[in-house]
This record gives sequence, structure tokens and C-alpha cells, in this order.
Amino acid sequence: MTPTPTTDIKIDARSFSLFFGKAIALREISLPIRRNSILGIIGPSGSGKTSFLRAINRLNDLTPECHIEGVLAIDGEDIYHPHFDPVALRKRVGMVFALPIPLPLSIYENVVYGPRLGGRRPLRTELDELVENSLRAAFLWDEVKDRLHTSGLRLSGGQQQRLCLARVLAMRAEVILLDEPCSGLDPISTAKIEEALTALAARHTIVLVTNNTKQAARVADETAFFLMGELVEHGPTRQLFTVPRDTRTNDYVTGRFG
Amino acid sequence: MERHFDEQLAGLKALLIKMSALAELMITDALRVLVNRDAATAEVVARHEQLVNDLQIEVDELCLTLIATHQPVAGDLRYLLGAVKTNTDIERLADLAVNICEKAVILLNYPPVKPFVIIPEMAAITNGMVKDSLHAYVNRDATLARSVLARDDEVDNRKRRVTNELAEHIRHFPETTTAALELILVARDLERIGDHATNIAENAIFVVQGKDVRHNAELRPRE
Repeated sequence: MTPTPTTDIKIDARSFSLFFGKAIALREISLPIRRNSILGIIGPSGSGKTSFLRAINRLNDLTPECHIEGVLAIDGEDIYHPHFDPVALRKRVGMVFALPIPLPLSIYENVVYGPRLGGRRPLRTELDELVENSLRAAFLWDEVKDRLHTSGLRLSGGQQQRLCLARVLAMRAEVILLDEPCSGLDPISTAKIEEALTALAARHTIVLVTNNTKQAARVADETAFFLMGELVEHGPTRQLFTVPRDTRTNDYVTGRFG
Repeated sequence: MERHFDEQLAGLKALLIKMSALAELMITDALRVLVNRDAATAEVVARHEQLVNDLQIEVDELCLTLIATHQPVAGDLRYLLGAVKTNTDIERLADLAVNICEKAVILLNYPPVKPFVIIPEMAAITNGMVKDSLHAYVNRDATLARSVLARDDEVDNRKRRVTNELAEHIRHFPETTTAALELILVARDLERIGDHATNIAENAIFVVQGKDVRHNAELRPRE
């Protein structure tokens, strides 16, 4: 059971810095992320947006000479505390990458793969229900319900990406991290992912890294602009795309650099 | 970085400057018809109105294309929204110059009511407001824009004085009623030209600072 939320902040970075050896990838990021909302992270390549995303489920841990300073907390708990279990963290914090990577299994088996790994063996009826709910939440159910036992690899790119999203949802993740989830998708597939994310935000905290600033403008409740490892500006999306406070934000969102 | 979009915005700016320059000329010419009783100039005003109308359509089409093709945000979006609104205001103030001109032509059938003093002052102030508001918009100059807002009261005060003086004149010389009423309407048209220049200046402030200063919005609490 997740502890009862005591604050509307789900993820809280406080003076969080990330180093790879002597190189600094993130410099003193202070960024509270609201529960059940979508945060869009935008910025040119090398700005640190993906490093920040990966830091939220400690995917940088195995990178040699990686270390951090400051605090990154989820539900008030410091996820970099020595006693914090990264495996437990990753059950709560799911991730979808730019390139969809379905397992070479059926659609059904792709969704239940994670839940089958953990603890007691679930009943078939429980799994059936989980598959349907997860695929519905990922806006994929109607397209695949008649062929659940065909290979996930035979789906289109957009469908594969929604399958990966369903896989995260089947784990009952509280936080969904997405790194450029629509970079290879056509506008219709992109719209379906965005529709799914908007609906999922009612019960999940979503962090979306995107090079497509218009995507952040469309779906994010709040947007953060990263530049050279620093957080330049963070605020309501409407503000960032109408009256940004920082001229660097204005220059980036209007395409003057990046 | 200079973008292709910036070149297109420069084209838009050139169109608006041309429109505004024509509108200023129309106001000056309308006053020439009125004060110098120069009937021939009325035709020039009518020709220029057609040019302004054509430019209005061209500007709207360009804005529509730029919004559709570039989906601008932030400063670019504010600039384009400002252009659409400014375009409407310039066209309206050109219409008002035509109105003044039409009244001036009617007044040619009557002897002069009294020497012109305040109305030419109003025209000079409003012309300055039109010029400065447009420059504030295209050059993103909020200080200049605020100076335009401050001048609107000068125009309003003069309009009241003209109205009062002419009302008094009608009482003493009832035979001048028709002509004097036309002049009151001219003063009202000039006052409205000032209002449109004020709108353009308010647009300019929004473009530069992202602040909505219309209807004392600055004084209202924001969420």
C-alpha cells in the first residue's frame, strides 16, 4: 500500500546535482512535481532532461563514476538514501523509452510479464482482468482484443509504444517516466499516446521528456525548461508558452536555438 | 539565430507600417479638406482608403498563414495576435478619417462657423499617437506605448471643449446649427481615432511585456 498522500508534491528535487566523474550533468535542480499531473521537460540535446528523468528511477546508478548531491524524494522519501531499495523504486516508477521494445512474446504475455515476476503466482482471471484494464488504459484494447495471443512484435510502432505503456501500467506504477515516447510516431499514433497520458494523469504522476515543444504545450500541466544542466524555468505550461519569464525560454520555445 | 520566420515577420511589419503611414496621411488630408476647404484632396483620401482596405486583407491572410504554418508560441504568438488586432484598429481609424472627410465636404456648403483652433490640435495629437503606437508595436517599445496611453486624456479633454464651445455657439447663432453639429461629429471622430491608437499601444505593451493593460487590468488581482 502506498502511504496516504500528505502533500500534493509527488516527486521533489531539492538542490539535486548529478555528476559523471568530474563532469556535471545536472546543477542544483530544485523542482517539485505535483501528484497526478503531467510535467513536460523540454530543452536542447545535452541540457540534462534525460539525465534528470533517469535519475527519478535511478537508472544512472550503474554508470561508472556517477554520483549525486542534494535530494530527490518521492512521497517525501529520499530515493538515494543508502537504505532505499532501487528494485522497489522501479516497481513504483515505470519508464517508457523512445524506441518501443516489446518482448518477443504475445501481446498478452508482454503485459503480464512484470506482474508474474513478483511474489505469488496470480490467478488466470486476475491476469485476464489486468491485461484488459492495462490495455484499455493505454488506449490499445479495442485494436488488439481479438488477437491477444499474437506476437507483440507484429504491432505497428504506435501500437508497440502503447503496449510498452500498458506494461508499465500492469505493474501499477505510480509514476510514469517517458523519454521521447512519440519521436518515431506518426501524428495519429502520437495523438493516441497523448490522449492516454491525459487520461492517466488522473491517477498517475507523469514526467514527459520531449524534443517536441508543441507536445509539451498540448499535454503537460506544468513545463520545465532545462539548459546546459540547469533548470531555467518551471511553471504552468500556459505561462511558459505565452509569457515565459526568461528570455532563454522564449528563444527556445520560439525556435531561435536548440 | 535568424529564422525564416523572422523574415516573414519583417514582411508583416512592413505591411503594417505602410498601412499606418497611409492612415496618418488620410487624417492629415481629411483635416486639409476641413480647414483649407480643399475639396480636391477628398478624392485622395478615398483612394487611400481603398489601399488600406486591401492591406488589411493582406495582413490578415499573412497572419493566418504564419499561425497555421509555424504554430507560434510565447513572444512570437503575442506578436502575431497583436498584429491581427492592430490591423483592425488601423483599418478603423482610416474609416474615421474618411468620415471626417465626408463631413468636411458637407461643410463646404456652409460658411465657416469659426476659426479652427482645437480641432487641428486634436488632429496633431491623434496623428502623433497613431504614429507612436504603431512604432511601439513594431519595435516592441513598451515605454513609447505607455506615453501614447497618457496622451489619450489630452484628446478627450479637447473633444469636451470643442463640444461645449460649439454648443454655446449654436445658442448664440442658431443659423450655424447644422454646420456646428458636423464639427462636433468631427471632434468625436478624432477622439475615436485616439481610442484606436490607444488600443494599438495596449497591444504593444502586451506584445513586449505579456501584460494586459486594457480596462485597467493591471489593477485587477490576478489568480
